[in-house]
Formats: sequence, C-alpha cells, structure tokens
Amino acid sequence: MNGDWVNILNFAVRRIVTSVLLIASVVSVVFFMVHFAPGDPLSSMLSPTISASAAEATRAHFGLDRPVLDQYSIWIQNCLRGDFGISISHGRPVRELITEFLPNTMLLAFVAIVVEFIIGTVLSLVAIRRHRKIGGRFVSNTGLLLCTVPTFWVGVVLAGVCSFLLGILPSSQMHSIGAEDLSFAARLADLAKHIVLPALTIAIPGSAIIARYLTANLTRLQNEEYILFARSYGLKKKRLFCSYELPNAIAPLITFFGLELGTLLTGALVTETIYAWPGMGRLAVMAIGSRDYPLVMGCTVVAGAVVIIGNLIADLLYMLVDPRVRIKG
Amino acid sequence: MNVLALFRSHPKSWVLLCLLLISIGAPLLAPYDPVAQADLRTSRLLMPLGHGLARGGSPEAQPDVGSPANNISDPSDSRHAIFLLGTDNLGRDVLSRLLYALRVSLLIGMGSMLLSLFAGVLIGIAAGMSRSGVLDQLLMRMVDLFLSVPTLFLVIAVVAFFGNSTSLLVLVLAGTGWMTVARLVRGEVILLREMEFVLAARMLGRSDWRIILDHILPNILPTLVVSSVLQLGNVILAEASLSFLGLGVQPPTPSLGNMIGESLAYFDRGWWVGIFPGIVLTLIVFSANTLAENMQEQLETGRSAQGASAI
Repeated sequence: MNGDWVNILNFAVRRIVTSVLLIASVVSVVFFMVHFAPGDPLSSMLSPTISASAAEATRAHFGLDRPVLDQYSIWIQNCLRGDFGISISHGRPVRELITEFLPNTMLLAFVAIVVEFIIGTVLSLVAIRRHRKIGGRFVSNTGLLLCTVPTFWVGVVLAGVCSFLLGILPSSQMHSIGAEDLSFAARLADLAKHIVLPALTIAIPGSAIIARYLTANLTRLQNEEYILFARSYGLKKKRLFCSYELPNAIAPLITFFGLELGTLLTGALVTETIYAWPGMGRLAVMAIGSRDYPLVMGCTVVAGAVVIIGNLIADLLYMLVDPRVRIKG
Repeated sequence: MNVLALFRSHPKSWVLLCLLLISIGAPLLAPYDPVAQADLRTSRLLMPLGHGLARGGSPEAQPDVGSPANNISDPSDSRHAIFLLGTDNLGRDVLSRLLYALRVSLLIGMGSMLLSLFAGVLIGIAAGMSRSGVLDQLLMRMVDLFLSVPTLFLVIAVVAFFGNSTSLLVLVLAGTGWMTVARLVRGEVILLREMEFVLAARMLGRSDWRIILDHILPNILPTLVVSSVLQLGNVILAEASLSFLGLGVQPPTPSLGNMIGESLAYFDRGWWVGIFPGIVLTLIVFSANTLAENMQEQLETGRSAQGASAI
C-alpha cells in the first residue's frame, strides 16, 4: 500500500510538472507568434496620417520599442499575474472579460457533456442489446454517420428547423429580452430554453463518439477472463452488467472527457457563433474580427491552460479509479 | 497495396474518387459561373428547380466584372434558366457554387494533407532513427505540445495575425495534422529498424539514407496511405470550420464552409443554400473516415496473418 502511494505521488508530480511546462510553452508560442506577425498591435489603432514622432511615442508608451526579450519577460510576468492588458475593442481589462464570459462557456460545456453522456450510453446499450436486430444495426450505422457530421452544420440545421421553421426554441443569446425582471424560476426556465439548441449541437456528434467507444469497450470486455469467470460462477446477468461490465467500460471514458474538453472549447468557437452564446468562443471570434490583440492573446492562453489543466485532472482521476495505471506509473 | 484491389475491396473509395473527378470537371459540369449573379429582381433565393433569369452563359462567355453587360439595369442578355439546386441570397446558382466549393475544399484538403504527411514522415523518421535518443525525446515532446493545445484556437490566432491567404491556410491546416503522422511513423520505424532485414542491410554497409529509402519507407507505405485518407477528412473538416467562421476561404470564392456560414443568416427563406454543402461535406468526411477504418482493419488482419504464417 505504501509503495502504491509513492507511485501515485510520483506520477502526479511528473504530470503536474509537464502540464506547467506545456502551459509555459503555450504562453511563449502566443507571444512569439504575435511578435513575428506582420504589422504590430498598434497598426490598426494608429491613423496613417499621424506624424512619425507621435507614432514612435505611442509605441514607446506601450513598450513596443523595447528589446524582444524585455517584452517577453514582461509578458510572462503579466501572464503569471493573470493580467492580459486592456481589450482594444471593449475598452475593459481582458481578465474581466474572460472571467465574465468563461463561466457561460463552462455552463454550456457542462450541460453538453451531461447530455452527451446520457445519449451516448443509451445508444450504446441499444446497440449492444439488439446488435443482431434492426434497431441495433440502425443505431450503429447512424452512429458512424453522426460521428463525422460537422458540428456547425448540425448547428445550422437545428437552428433552422427548431427556431426558424417551427419557432419552438430561441436561436440566440442566453436570456430573453427583459429576463432581468422575471422571477428566479422563470429566469431559470428561460435559460434552460436557450441552452437546449447549443447543447444539443455539441452533444449530437459527441454522443455518437461516446456510443461507439462504449460499445467497443463492452464488446471487448465479453472476452475478459474475469467476466467469463463471473458468468460461469452463475452471477445474474443484471448484476454482472451493473457491477462488472458497465463500470469497467465507463472508466476509460474519464480520459475521454479530458480530451473532450479541448473539442468542446474548439466546438464552442463555432456553436457560440451560431447561437450568439456569450462565451469564450464568441469572445475570441469577435476579437479576431476587430484585430483586438490583447483579447486574442488572452483567450488563446486561457483556452490552452483550461484544456491542459482539464487533461491533467482527467489523468489524475483516472489513476485513482484504475489501479493498473498506478502500477505502470 | 494494389490500387485496383483497393477500389474493388472498398466501395467507399469510389465515392471519394467520384467526388474528386467531379471537382476536377467542375468547369465542365457547372451550368453557370459560380460567382455570377443572375437577375437580382427575379432570381434571388429561388427554390431548387426554380426558374429565373440568368445572366451570361457558360463561364467562358462571362463578361468582365464592371463591363456594361454585367450591369443590373441592362436586361438585354438575360435569358430564361432553371436552377437545379436553387439560387442563394445574391442570385448565384447553388449547384455551380457547390461544384466549385468542392474543388476548393478538396484542393486545400489535399495540399495540407500532403504537407502534413511530408512533415510527419520527416519528423517521425528523424525521431525513430536517431541513435542518441535526445532528438527523439525532443521531437516527441514537441508532438505532445502540439497535441495538447486546442489547435483550432491557435489556428484562428495565426489566421488573425498573419492574414488568410490560401497558401497560409494550407500551411496552417497542415500544422494541425502532422503530429499524429509523426507519432505513427516513429513507432513503425522503431519496430522496423530492429528487424533482421534492416540489420542485414546495415551490416552490408548501407547508409542510413539508403536504408530509409529502400527498406523503411516501402514498409510504412500502407500505414501512410491509411493515415493520409484519415488526414484528408480531418483537414477538410477543419478548413470548413474556419471558412464557416469567415476566417478561411474568403467570399466570393465558394467553399463548403463559407456557403454554410452565409446561409445561416437567411436559413428560414433559403434552407437549400446550407443543406447541400453540408451533405457533401458529411459525405466526404464520412467516406474518408470509414475507408481509413476499413483499410486499417484489413492491414491489421493482414499483419496477424503474416505473423501466423511466419511462425
């Protein structure tokens, strides 16, 4: 047992150190990318008719005349403090904007993951239970198709059918106009109505992937010795499934959710643009549209950090759940 | 892997081949110029199979933009026409745009697929063949780095800072795909370089370059074919996402992604503008993914059969 904990600690420390290094690399890549890009952050702000000396003075004011390494060390220090400067297009600190928009993305991502997991599990159970019947085959074939359907097309079609043609669900924003005046319960219902379409857009392709993954795991488990043993021991089918097969098939999904976080954030770029959801993805897309350097840099660094930390947490959780990973270290 | 046998055993490869041929023949197949606008008074957002007044004829006969004949107020060279898949908000033929969009998407997809394959093979072989292991460690940590950041975020940052020319787009999309290829190739190379026939070649005094060209590359070719097909689907999807956001291929050039993006604004009045490109896109990605999966399975069973006969 003692050696076990040493292993866990060893693995955790190593994973944390790599994650910190990875985040540091993302921070550096973003800095040098901006540095080597044509033009500089001020070129979109300065009028072409401005005098050269005034332009120089402005550059000096923002520290753009300093040596690269100086600028780099300032950037690192500011990143450590969570200070990404002031957004050009919003006129507010980038940190404030991100702390305002990131929770909305997290809410959407959380709902999407839950929906995805439920749909995926149900689909996979149908596929497994009836794999020789038409229903099961239908599920696995459409599952394959749904894995490859582009998220943004799902979004466009869902928005088009559900809100433009049928008019049953709202197609944009998080709240209706005037929602501030409603009671708490009514506001919650309003939010729930707004979140359905974006969450489904993210969850439909994702659930197909989960279903395929889970089905493959469950099928593979059928040949494992401990399952064969439990079956020959006379364990009831239901008991076997609930306490042996399902947990072992679901456990690897923890790392899948870690990876899924990256997909979700990337998908958020598209989904939030379609549904005008006030989250990180939309913030980033709008920032690019207005060439808002501090905001683009801030969003990229934060998105990278969130994904890396998410992967780290998923790996650590998986290690706690599955003892085999611990032994390998 | 025999090309003919490939087509015989994988029906999905026919789909990809057909799409490729269609995209090559787009100028012949397209009934209208993809960017030419029909008469705006009668031909905006026509339903599929709708009738309207078209302007100009085949793309060759299309007058220059800005010449009087292209002027909206001059109806003299308008003629009655049928639009098979309807027209979009600007009165452009959806079918013609779709054909050209397929061409653009496949061209960018193929370009960045080849580029990422090239980079991946180069880095994978360099890492796998390195004797000291330092280079191997360095390159593989680089692969880890690129795999762990949300690539689309980085891609849009690059596009935002460096502009979005087509060549840059190809380069940037290739940058999202080389990691998996490199990892795959490195694994294969490490296995191969300890094989007896490679050791024998080395004992005969063959240089590293000759060993790579004569022995390693031919043996990783099947894996490369599989991963290039998979790569093609991924890259086309990524390009479509970028163009959808307005950061990839710029209008008026049609691409599958920007056609869907444009249709979002008027989906209630013109669903056909966004639906058809989506179907084509799904078809490409679906057939590429399943083809790659089937070929991978075949490769694995082939290998285990080989292994069995060797014993």
